[in-house]
Amino acid sequence: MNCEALQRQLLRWESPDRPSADGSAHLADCAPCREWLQRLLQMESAVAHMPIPPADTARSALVRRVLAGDSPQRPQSAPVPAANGQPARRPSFALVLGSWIMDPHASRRRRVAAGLVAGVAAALLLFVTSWLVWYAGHTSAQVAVNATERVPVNPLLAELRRKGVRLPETEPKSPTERVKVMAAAAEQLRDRAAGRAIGDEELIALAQLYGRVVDEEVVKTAEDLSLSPEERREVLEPIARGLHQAESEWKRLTQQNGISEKAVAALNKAALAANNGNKRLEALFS
Amino acid sequence: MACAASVRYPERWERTSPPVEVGERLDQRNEANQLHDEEHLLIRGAQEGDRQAFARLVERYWDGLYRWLYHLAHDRHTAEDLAQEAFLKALNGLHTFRPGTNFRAWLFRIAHNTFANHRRAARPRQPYPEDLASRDEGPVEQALSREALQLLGKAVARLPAEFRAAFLLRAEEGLSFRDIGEVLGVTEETARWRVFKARQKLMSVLAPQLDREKP
Repeated sequence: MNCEALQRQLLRWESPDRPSADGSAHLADCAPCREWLQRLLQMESAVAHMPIPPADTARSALVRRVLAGDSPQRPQSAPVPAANGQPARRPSFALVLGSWIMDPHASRRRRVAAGLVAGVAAALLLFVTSWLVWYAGHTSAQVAVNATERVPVNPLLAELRRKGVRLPETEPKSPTERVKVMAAAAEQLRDRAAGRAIGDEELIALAQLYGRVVDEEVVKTAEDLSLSPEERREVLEPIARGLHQAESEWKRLTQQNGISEKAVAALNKAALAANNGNKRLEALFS
Repeated sequence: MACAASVRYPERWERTSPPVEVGERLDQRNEANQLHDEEHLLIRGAQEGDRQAFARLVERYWDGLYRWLYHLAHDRHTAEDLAQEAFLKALNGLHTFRPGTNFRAWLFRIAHNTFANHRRAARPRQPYPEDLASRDEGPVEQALSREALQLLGKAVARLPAEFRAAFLLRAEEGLSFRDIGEVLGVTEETARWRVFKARQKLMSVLAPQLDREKP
């Protein structure tokens, strides 16, 4: 285990102060890693000492409230007492309207008017309900997007979007999802490089971007996956196969007529990235 | 990265570290068991309507919950309100808590939902306040300068909220990745990933400062 692998392992370990047997063996012989681990532990324990304003008053208030037997529900506004001390009684608008509509002694003309009022009210209620349902459906999606605080923009993802690579709207939140998304992005880049006649400059840009996606995203994220061996194989095997095919594809592109030396070098680098990626992924699941 | 000859182990993982006295270890375990039993009794009492028991649970969990919410909300009054609301919701929903499961994780889950509801309606978040007194002058504070502690506070505040929430549950509350997943409503794997990313970012920000402070 080298230093980088150990440090990544410790970062994703539940308790870095209790490393694996491999990790302990490495730490025994490696002073810089011991120092690095000390810093990590120091940083984690210092979190509990980060300054915050006191809230003793709020706590005491809550305890008093709990002991006083306050209802957890929000207090409801009490009815305003009348002059005689009794709550004022005032017929509600609904009661007045209802008795007017339902009055059995009303004239025929008044009964027609009442029917019209009831019909308009029903139509209005239906319209408002439908609108609320439609509005809730539209805004909830927006709220969900706003609710997740924006993750800082990853420059590589931004570059992929600029190149027209299709990516999900939000940055993947789990490493498994991230590996899959980035592997798909790498394939899109390769397809675009192979799909139609493009200039050397564009070809070089695509090949370089491909190498970065494979190295910086697919492989590194795959190395951080904390999955069972079976799950790891299930996720990584098809991606490794894709990288193997990509290597041949990039090499085939170097055989095109009229391609500059600079472009050939970039294509070879992309092929090398695919080859390395394939090997590193295979090492993770075999 | 270069490896050098061995110097001195940090105590906590030293292979040849002196064994902890058996009696001391048993004492620690007994103390933990006692706390667990006491908590179990308090929860049962509170479920049966004993307000005093719930008030003791509030005393026990207030600090951790308030600190966590403060670091999420960056505002004292918001954190106070959210903590109070979370406790009251917990009191209201105590009958749904299954004895034997993790009360801390259950309570923090309620607080997280309360925070999420608040955030939907909230204004842009407050900047991290600079002039705050730290909790106490413990050995860690002596080891880390005030400047480093401020830097850590700012770096934590700048973490994306989901990374920050997961990291603080691990570093401050000592929750397992599985419990963190339950609190935040994500898988254990995602919880691990978020803590990993948070640690990675914090180490990259703090390393130069810690290097400067090296004796």
